[in-house]
Amino acid sequence: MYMSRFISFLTLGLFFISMSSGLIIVFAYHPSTAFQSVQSIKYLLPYGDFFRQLHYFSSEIFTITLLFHIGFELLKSKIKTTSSSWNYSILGFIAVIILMFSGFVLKGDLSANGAAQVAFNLIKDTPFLKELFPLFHDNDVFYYKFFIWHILFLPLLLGYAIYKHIDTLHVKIEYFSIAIGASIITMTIFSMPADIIKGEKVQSLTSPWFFKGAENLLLRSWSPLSVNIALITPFILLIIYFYSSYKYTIKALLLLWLLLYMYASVMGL
Amino acid sequence: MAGVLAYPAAKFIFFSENTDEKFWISLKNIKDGITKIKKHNLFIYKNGDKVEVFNAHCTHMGCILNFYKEKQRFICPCHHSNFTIDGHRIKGPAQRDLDKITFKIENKKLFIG
Repeated sequence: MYMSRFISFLTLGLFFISMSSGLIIVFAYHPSTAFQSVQSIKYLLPYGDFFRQLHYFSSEIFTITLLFHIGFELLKSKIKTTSSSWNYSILGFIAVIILMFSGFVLKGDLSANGAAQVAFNLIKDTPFLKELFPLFHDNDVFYYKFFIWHILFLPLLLGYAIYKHIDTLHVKIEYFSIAIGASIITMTIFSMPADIIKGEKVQSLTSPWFFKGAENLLLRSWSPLSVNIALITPFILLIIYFYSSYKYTIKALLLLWLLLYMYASVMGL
Repeated sequence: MAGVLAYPAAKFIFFSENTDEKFWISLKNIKDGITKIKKHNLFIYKNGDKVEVFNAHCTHMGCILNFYKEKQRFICPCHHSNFTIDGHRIKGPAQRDLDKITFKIENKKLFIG
């Protein structure tokens, strides 16, 4: 119980650290010269590399603690929330995944370009989703729409979803301290993936860790539609979980999905 | 009021302009073999008088292909589809050959688009 509350507050703390560090680096980021501005933040601006890494690692840990938070809530026998709060939680979870993906694309390097191309084609080849294609795709100013989503619409949506999700906001300074500490410790242990200049010839491009499973399914000639179905399955299960009387069956299906996706991500199928 | 504005707003946001560019390249600058035009994401294959222009995006998920001179192959860095120098699919998850781009040659210039 204590662990569950600790993870919830830590996730909230990491959200604020991620937003604050993002607000700092956005002043030096230009979507029309994405790669150059990221390199300028990293190498030229004072403390630029620190704030970029703080933004990256706080966001990564935020996503991981969010997954643990969902896991802990599902382990409980009773849901102590309203349907409105539950639905906003799912909306916020979707916003987090798109935020993480758009952040990956905004670094503007070769792997970001590859990930964006794959995402565009996944959307374009899937019924209904393809109608949303113009919301993300840019022809001339490639990173502009991702930029707007990343710095404006998605943070607002996520902030509102968090506001509606939590019953009472007890802002505890110690959780922010722990969140900053955890981010800085992670920065010292791990390093960010290297930025690859466009036009460089690389054998393999990397995608965000949470899309590794989808990438491996595509590698195994799964159709874009079936990959998209695999990706949206947990969200649909989470939505119906609240209303269903077969909660144990849905939990078992979620666990099965998680194991299969982890297998697809790690083992490469 | 919101309903009146919703339709034009949706038409505005979802409008997708066709921005296919028309441009030309001097054939004098193109040597035999494969030349990559980075700006337009194209590969030009030239063998004497024979010229082909390929879209540099993989026909699987759209990643930009690399050309390996020693293997004489295009290889996708995302999901490793392989294509021959004349654009035919060899292996990998891509299901079709590379997309050919229409062009015409006039006065030793290659007009694309």
